[in-house]
Amino acid sequence: MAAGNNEVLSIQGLEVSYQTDRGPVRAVRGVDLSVREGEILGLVGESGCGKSATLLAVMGLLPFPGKVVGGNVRVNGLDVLKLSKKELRSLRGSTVAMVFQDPMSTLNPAHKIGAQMREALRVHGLPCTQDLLVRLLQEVGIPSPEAVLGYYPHQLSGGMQQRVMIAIALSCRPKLILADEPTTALDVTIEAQILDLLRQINRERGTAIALVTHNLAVASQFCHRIAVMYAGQIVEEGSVEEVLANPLHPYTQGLIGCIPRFQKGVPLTPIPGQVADLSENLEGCAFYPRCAKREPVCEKTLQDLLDTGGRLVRCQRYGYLEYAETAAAQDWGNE
Amino acid sequence: MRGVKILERALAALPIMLGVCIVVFLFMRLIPGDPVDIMLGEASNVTQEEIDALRAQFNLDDPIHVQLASYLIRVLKGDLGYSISRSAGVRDLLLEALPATVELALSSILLALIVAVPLGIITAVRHRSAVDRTSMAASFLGISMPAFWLGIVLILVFAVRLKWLPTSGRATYGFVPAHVTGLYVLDSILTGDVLALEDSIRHLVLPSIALGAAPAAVITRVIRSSMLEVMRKDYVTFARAKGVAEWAVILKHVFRNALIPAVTVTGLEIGSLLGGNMVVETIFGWPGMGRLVVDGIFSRDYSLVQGAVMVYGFTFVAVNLIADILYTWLNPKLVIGEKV
Repeated sequence: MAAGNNEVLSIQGLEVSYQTDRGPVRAVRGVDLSVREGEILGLVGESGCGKSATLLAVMGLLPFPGKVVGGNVRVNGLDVLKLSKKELRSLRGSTVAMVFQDPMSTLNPAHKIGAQMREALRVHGLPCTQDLLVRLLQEVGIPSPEAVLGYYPHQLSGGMQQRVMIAIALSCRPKLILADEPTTALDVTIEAQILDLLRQINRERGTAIALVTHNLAVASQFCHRIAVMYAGQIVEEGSVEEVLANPLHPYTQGLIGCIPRFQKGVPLTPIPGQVADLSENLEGCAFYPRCAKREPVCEKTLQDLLDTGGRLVRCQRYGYLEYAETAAAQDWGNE
Repeated sequence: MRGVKILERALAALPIMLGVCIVVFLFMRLIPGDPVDIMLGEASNVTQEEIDALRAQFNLDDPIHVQLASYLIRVLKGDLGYSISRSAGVRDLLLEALPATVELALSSILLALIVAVPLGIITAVRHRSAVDRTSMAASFLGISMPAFWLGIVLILVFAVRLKWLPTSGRATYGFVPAHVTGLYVLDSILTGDVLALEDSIRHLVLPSIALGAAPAAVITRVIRSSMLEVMRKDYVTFARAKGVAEWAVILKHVFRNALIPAVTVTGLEIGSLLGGNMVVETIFGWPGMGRLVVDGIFSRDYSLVQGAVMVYGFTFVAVNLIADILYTWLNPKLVIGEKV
């Protein structure tokens, strides 16, 4: 389904900080993000860049000692950060549902599948008949659903467990699914099946999906739009075709260089260095120490997100780089 | 399938019981002096012939392997022997003492659980709060206090000084309920004897506190730490993400999965309580297994001690088996016979 204009999720200036013994760690540093109805947004970045923290903040589920210290989050028009605990609970699972990374550890090992599905419906006061549960499992492609309802999670494969988790997420017909690395723990073949399933859900029901992944290849196959995160900030955002064909930020360019292609003799280009230490106060560009195209100016000044006609990029060098590259291309053409 | 497994486990306990039997038999005979020495004591007017005759009467002059063999054969026939010091059949003595110990053990562990379960949950949920710190300090005290010392303090304060509760025994003379199971509280409920019920509960309170304090402290700590560990699991976050209310998350998702270590510890505690705490039973004049064994050891009453230790072995095996069965219910991944 094509993306509508209504925003199901709108995040503005989100700041998440973890209080540690060594002082606050600013995991998310002013993230703006929106997901429209029926849209699939990919949030891409390395581990520790704050993408999962962003999703958990939307659900109000940041683990201790994480805290939202600034910004606001609207889900379907409701200001999540101002809701009471009870209002927040009624939002969770019903309007916005979450799918987690490792299905093996996300389903409660002590309860049967049927009980875990019923719980999701019951807490929102929805009927939970056997027929409905069976139909939900059928929809996510689980064979012999009647039997599966009586199984414990460990009796299912990882892929089947992930389908069950998706069935639970879908059970209350949410407008938005937050998927936190939903395929990372799975085999590649199963990964494709699960992504197909999510895509089908998006197409048939118009459920918006925010997919967090560290895998740009997954995001490129699956999303309409992607936002690239680095060190708690969005560094680039745009439609998936544009970002992949013409990455503007050096970090995105680096990520694309890391995607394996099946060509013999073409080595992967890793991004050198380590992810920035978020407990330090970063003055300039967080990517500066690792950037191939850095200039002294990048170290001291932080660039706002630049709007370049529907695409956003956070890079001092954006204009120059584009100019330089065009010039280089022309030089090359002239020779 | 499950029944077969349980039976298998029960049968596997038989060789253990046999081993216990043999070891205790031999160890008892390592203690210097035999029953005849103790019976005759310092008496000087006994001749060696008389002593030998007495030894022969109890078959103590046979070689040790013959004694062992004849003992094992009698045990297999269900005959636990004759207590020389108490002049009664060992089986009868054990059957008389066992209910007293069982009653005290059950009420101690019940008391411990009533305290430990809510406290373990609260301290985990309110991690690092004042409640948590106070309870942890208190539980440290509970673990460090020896039961006999606590028992004496309780007697001094609540029985001697305040006179709220009796100092010792299971029941006031004349208030013993009619015999049904041998557990006084249960018997007085079954026979509808209100006075006996009140009396037996009053007698149970102090020894139960003395015995239950340490298990309560240990179980509180185990529940707390295991809850804290489970709270970090993904399925707990997932339950919250489903919109489940916080109390339900804690009870249905966290507590349920945190129970396994608690069951292990509780099982071990019950096992050791069922053996009867020798010191506490002695302090409170509780006519249970512990006192029987202490008396038996001092009078070198071989059959009595052997019989009592067999009962220990049996209860330990039984409690462990029950704990194993509980594991499989708590953690469906386990099959009986696997270790957690």
